[in-house]
Amino acid sequence: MRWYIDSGPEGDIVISSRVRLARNIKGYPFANRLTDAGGKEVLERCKEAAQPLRLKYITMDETPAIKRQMLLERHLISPEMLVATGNKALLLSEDEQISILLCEEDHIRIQCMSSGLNLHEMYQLADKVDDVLEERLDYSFNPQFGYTTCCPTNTGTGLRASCMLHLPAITSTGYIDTLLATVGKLGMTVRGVYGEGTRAKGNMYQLSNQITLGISEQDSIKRLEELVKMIAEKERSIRASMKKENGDKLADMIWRSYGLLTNARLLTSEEAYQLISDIRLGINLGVITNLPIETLNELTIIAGPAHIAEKCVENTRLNRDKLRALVVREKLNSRKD
Amino acid sequence: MLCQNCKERQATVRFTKVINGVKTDMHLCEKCAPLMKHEFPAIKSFDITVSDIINSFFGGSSVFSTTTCDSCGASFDDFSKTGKFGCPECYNAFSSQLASPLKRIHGNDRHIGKIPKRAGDGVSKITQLKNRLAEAIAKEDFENAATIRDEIRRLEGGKEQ
Ligand SMILES: [Zn+2]
Ligand SMILES: [Zn+2]
Repeated sequence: MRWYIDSGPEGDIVISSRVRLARNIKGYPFANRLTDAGGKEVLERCKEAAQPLRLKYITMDETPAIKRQMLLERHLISPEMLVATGNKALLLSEDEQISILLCEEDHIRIQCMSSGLNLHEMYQLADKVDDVLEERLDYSFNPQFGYTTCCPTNTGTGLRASCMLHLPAITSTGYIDTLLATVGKLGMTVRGVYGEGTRAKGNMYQLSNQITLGISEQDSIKRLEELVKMIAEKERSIRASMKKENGDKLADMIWRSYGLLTNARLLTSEEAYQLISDIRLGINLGVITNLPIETLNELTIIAGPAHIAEKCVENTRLNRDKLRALVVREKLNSRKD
Repeated sequence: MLCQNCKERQATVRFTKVINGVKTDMHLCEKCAPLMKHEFPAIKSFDITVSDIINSFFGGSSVFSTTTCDSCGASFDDFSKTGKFGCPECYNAFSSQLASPLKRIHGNDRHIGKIPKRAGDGVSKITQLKNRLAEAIAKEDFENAATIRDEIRRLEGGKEQ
């Protein structure tokens, strides 16, 4: 099963983990200043260096916008790659666990992703990929500032570790504000996974480290992991007290959402994410028992705007919402015995 | 805290609006927040963007600089404006101006952690030791730090700082 569908360690709260390493090749300007010829050369050299890894090579130029958006919805490329023009490419492993972004902002961004809380393993994997690439590439490295990157916020280790967290209880009690304000002081950052601004659609948040200079890779990951575990504990305890004090109301809310999701004839992606969030909570609290969490993970992907639009014959907003409702209903009803 | 609009539901979102330099905070619930969005066009989220960070550390810098990078032609002012470097050599060209803003971003100005095998060959023994010294101090391993410091002094030929 794909990592973005699977459920992993601490999967009741931690949906997935990702470790990213930013690297640049010596002798070339950063991607924003590369000439066309230079860009082609960098891509070619990276592709060659990655050969032992047996990854699929996908150039962004030749990938239609909707396919790019689908890659984004599966968290395989960054939003920057979505609108990018020029020499940009992606190296992707068969299981979609390793994705290397080429010429995004830095020449190379190695990403390793897994379901659940799995940061240490993902760092080990990224570290190995990094070693393979370095066999044939001369990285730019500054003795004082470490791996040099286009943006000074990444210099040093070039490491960005992050976890995607489902925090419905922390969100609904307003504790999220405290959390958002606190993590910054710890050198971490939180943002909503879907949607912009402060509101996270579907109660999904991404927690990442911000500091990359003067802290080792292992320490960065250890600190993030500790914070993730603390937040997960908090979320679990609020969920438990919600269930204890307001069990009937909570069960009613969850089953209403289930009713909507299995019966609606029109669904926006925003509404779908919110309903999926309620049902996810219901499964983890034991309110809904006959539905595997993996089915919800799959729904989150297949109900995404681009995944729906790609299947939609006459691509209007109404048709998309109609198709989304149908796709979701079929997925959920096919599970009933 | 209750939502300041409907005064019924728990507030979960904070919007900040700045009018003529006066900051107004508004706490809203999930239902009211979308309705009030047009009232608060500049939603100040905690999700600080990278350009915010760069601007606050480098932008409007009082240090006027004419330094340019020989390798890519970018000037330090280019960098202050965009928050992006032109090439890896920029780090050498601007190294004297970089340490303190980098320290404000990261709390440190010296790399600790992985060193690439080949590119790392060029890194002198002294630099590696200095990085290890910074790491030891960060971990409050003062005994080890003292040993490393002595080793650095020895390599530097007993130069006193
Ligand atoms: Zn309200
Ligand atoms: Zn330069």
